[in-house]
Amino acid sequence: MEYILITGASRGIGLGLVQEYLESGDAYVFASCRNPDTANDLQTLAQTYPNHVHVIQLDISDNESIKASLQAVLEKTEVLDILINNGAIMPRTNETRQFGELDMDALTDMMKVNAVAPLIVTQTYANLLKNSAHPRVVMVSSEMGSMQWTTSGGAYGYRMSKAAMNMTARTLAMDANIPKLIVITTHPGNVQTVMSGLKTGLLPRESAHGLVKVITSLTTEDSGKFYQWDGEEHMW
Amino acid sequence: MKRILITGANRGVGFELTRQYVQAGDNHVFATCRTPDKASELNTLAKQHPNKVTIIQLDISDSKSIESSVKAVEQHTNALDILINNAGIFPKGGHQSQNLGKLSINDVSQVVTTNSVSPLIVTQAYRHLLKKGNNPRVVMISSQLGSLINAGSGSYAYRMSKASMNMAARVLANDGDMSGIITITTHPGWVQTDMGGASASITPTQSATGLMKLINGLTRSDNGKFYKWNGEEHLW
Repeated sequence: MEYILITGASRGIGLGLVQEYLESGDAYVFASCRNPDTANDLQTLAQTYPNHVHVIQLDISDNESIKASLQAVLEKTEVLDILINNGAIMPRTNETRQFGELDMDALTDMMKVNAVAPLIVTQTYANLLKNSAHPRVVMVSSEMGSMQWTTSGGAYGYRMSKAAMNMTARTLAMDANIPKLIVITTHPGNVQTVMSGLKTGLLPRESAHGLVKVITSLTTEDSGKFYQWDGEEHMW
Repeated sequence: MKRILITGANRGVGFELTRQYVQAGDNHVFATCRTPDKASELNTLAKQHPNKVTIIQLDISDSKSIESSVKAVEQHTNALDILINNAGIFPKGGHQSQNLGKLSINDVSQVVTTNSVSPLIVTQAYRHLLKKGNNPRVVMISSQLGSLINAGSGSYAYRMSKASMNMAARVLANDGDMSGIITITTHPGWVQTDMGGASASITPTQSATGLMKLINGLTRSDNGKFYKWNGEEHLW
């Protein structure tokens, strides 16, 4: 059985990943989110699979919350096989999107949550990942973080934060502190979620299904790479 | 006459760029730094060339300071031809403080904000002056450590901040609100500065000479590219 921690598991791709792993039958999922009390879909899943999922409160932008989540996980296991850094924000305000209206504090907050927090979460769980025979860290990033793909303006905060997140994955993949660790960053596709606001495109479950397939088949040679949900490599 | 604004102009590559633009002829440099009182070399240069250098106080991490600097520059000119976002920080504890296990969410966030969000906000604050400039150009003094393709280990915060800065340049270059303005990002070389250390491979003078030649020769087709100090393109 694999132990898996997923951030931002209350909805969208995160929730889809929890469902995929629970239906596979051979996983124990720590499903973390900011507000477990209002995460109805996740709570329903937890009731359906009481022996395979543990809902954990985690605000990834808060150091104390990250530490507290580790204590909660340690009550169940000292081994973590897969960490999926999926939690992120994308405020629909011009303060992070529109040149001329960009705001330093709003952009700072976005960088902290989307890029720095996943690094700190990974650092916090490093010792548990070291105890795994096949440790993997997955960044749920975006094609919006690709330099080569960028051919339009706007969405500054999201693009910069995802470029920085991709760099986190690249740097972690070169880090010798966690032997055997495989780290990848991913583009989950254009998915119909509350965050994306898309009304067409992939369903969260379709994206999650593809991502789980990618994660399951990872080998050492994949570490440091940027994959799409369908297993194709993405440009940097 | 070229009107040039350079951040972090008190030392290193920023000071050398200031010195060489002053010596190169009919230029006026707005040389900004956090603490002008302590910028002894810059003050000496400004005394020697009072018509070519104006020292402006600017802490790029403070949006109020950015606004004040614009007002100070507007006392002297209504247009800018070149903006060089050179100011950046390296974590106080050096490379060791950036190893996995020692990273703190606030320290990493501070580096990422100062090195990537601030240059974007500075560019936004000066956009109206740039739009009135001759062949206006925005130059990011980034780093090879911001290259995703050429990844390495350690220096998490700095690498993430420079990847994010490169993305800021990419988005600015493609933004309709920046039309008519050329934006590039650069690797200034590994330079013998307080930040680069004594064992670095080139001097600030060599770096600044190369960068000036590059900046002077920029055309529309260079927009959105990543260049080394010697004019070669850098990998993303």
